[in-house]
Amino acid sequence: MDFGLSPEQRLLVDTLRRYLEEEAPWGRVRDIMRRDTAHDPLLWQGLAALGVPGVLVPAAYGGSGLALLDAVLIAETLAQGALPVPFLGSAVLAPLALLAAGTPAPQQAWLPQLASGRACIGVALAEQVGGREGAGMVLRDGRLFGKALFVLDAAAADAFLVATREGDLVLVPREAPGLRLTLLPTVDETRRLGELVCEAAPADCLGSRGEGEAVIARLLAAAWLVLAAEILGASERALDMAVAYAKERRQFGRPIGSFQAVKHSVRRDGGGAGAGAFASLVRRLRF
Amino acid sequence: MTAAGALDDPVLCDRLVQLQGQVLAMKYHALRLLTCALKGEPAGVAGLIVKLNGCQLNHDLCALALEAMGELGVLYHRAKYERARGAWMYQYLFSLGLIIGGGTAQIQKNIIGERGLGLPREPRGEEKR
Ligand SMILES: Cc1cc2nc3c(=O)[nH]c(=O)nc-3n(C[C@H](O)[C@H](O)[C@H](O)COP(=O)(O)OP(=O)(O)OC[C@H]3O[C@@H](n4cnc5c(N)ncnc54)[C@H](O)[C@@H]3O)c2cc1C
Repeated sequence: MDFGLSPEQRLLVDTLRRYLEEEAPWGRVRDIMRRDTAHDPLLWQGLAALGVPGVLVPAAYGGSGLALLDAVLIAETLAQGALPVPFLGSAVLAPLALLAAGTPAPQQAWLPQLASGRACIGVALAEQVGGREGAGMVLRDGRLFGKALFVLDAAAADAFLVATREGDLVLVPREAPGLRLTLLPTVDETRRLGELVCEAAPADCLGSRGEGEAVIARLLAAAWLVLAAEILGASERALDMAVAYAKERRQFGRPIGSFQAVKHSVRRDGGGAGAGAFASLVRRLRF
Repeated sequence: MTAAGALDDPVLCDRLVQLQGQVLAMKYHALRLLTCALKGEPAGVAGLIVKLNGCQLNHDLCALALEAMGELGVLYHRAKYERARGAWMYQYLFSLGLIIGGGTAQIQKNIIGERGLGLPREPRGEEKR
């Protein structure tokens, strides 16, 4: 049995990594972080040519119709470059929700736009894990009430996917009357989270009411996988940089990498199971 | 999770009590060092461990506080709902700097080993080719 990546997956990762080295050096990453939205539509649309925003969108809607494992590999690679992109919400969670719960109308309206990188969807799921500060949304007669915190990819969103207290998935456009977005700055400046407040904002339930719970559980599992992949990617890059520096930096007349204390901490921080093991874990999960 | 909720978590509770033990140890250690200083006695190894342990303890305390706050702990830059004006996150990051500043933890351990415990010195200078 081969638990490794396929040649296509390796090609995907290599192509993306080379693109990021060319197009998104640290200087550009920092420029994007400083924007209010932490989003660069040109970069996102450039990544669309490589199939990043459309990784999970079926070919019929202009995406590449790949699997969650492929999205996980992309997330890991994007995180190696600390890239501020709306990948988790717009390229993973929103397409998964539209495909699993949506009817043809919202799929046709959104999936091609998401795959081309021309539209983004913010995702409000945090209340499904634990409602803080009285947060929680309800849908009554086609109108959304309440608030949601830690909404993913909020600043650049053209619409929001909201999980309600009753366990329904609801789509509400950014410009809906009665909708108010406040950004919630966090210590991670590559990601714009927000607070969404809705006072009778007109919104559509994705699929039939009362059927969203299984989809929400799947979205949460996918979100944790993608976040774990991001942490892995960022850690790999940090380890590479630390090892390179330990070979170059000299103190007391020697490269610091020659000190056992440095060798041992590099081993401890970086000696985990790594990408291969993570990929074979993801592969065994059924999505 | 509210403050009471965090204490209901046995893992967080266990870490809190362990850190409380370390805080008390540092406190009484400091009183002992104060006595040494007042009597003009050399503190030896006892004095050398303060920087190493104190900086790490600060970092661990902030890490626990952030974890107990859950997702509210990541809020920063005067965000709405931010707790204690972001002090826990600020101190968490700054105490990492203090583990480096004034001699890194690794250097502190070398000093404790060599000057405090009299172990042979680390090899220094050019590597043998
Ligand atoms: C918050 C902060 C405040 C500071 N304030 C001041 C200040 O007021 N005045 C001032 O002069 N400086 C200040 N500094 C600088 C500080 O003294 C140095 O950063 C510190 O001594 C480490 O030196 P370095 O940065 O050159 O790291 P390096 O010496 O390059 O160390 C890099 C890594 O190698 C390890 N290493 C190096 N040598 C050895 C060895 N022999 N054995 C084992 N491991 C080793 C280190 O532990 C570290 O992990 C401050 C630094 C910080 C972070």
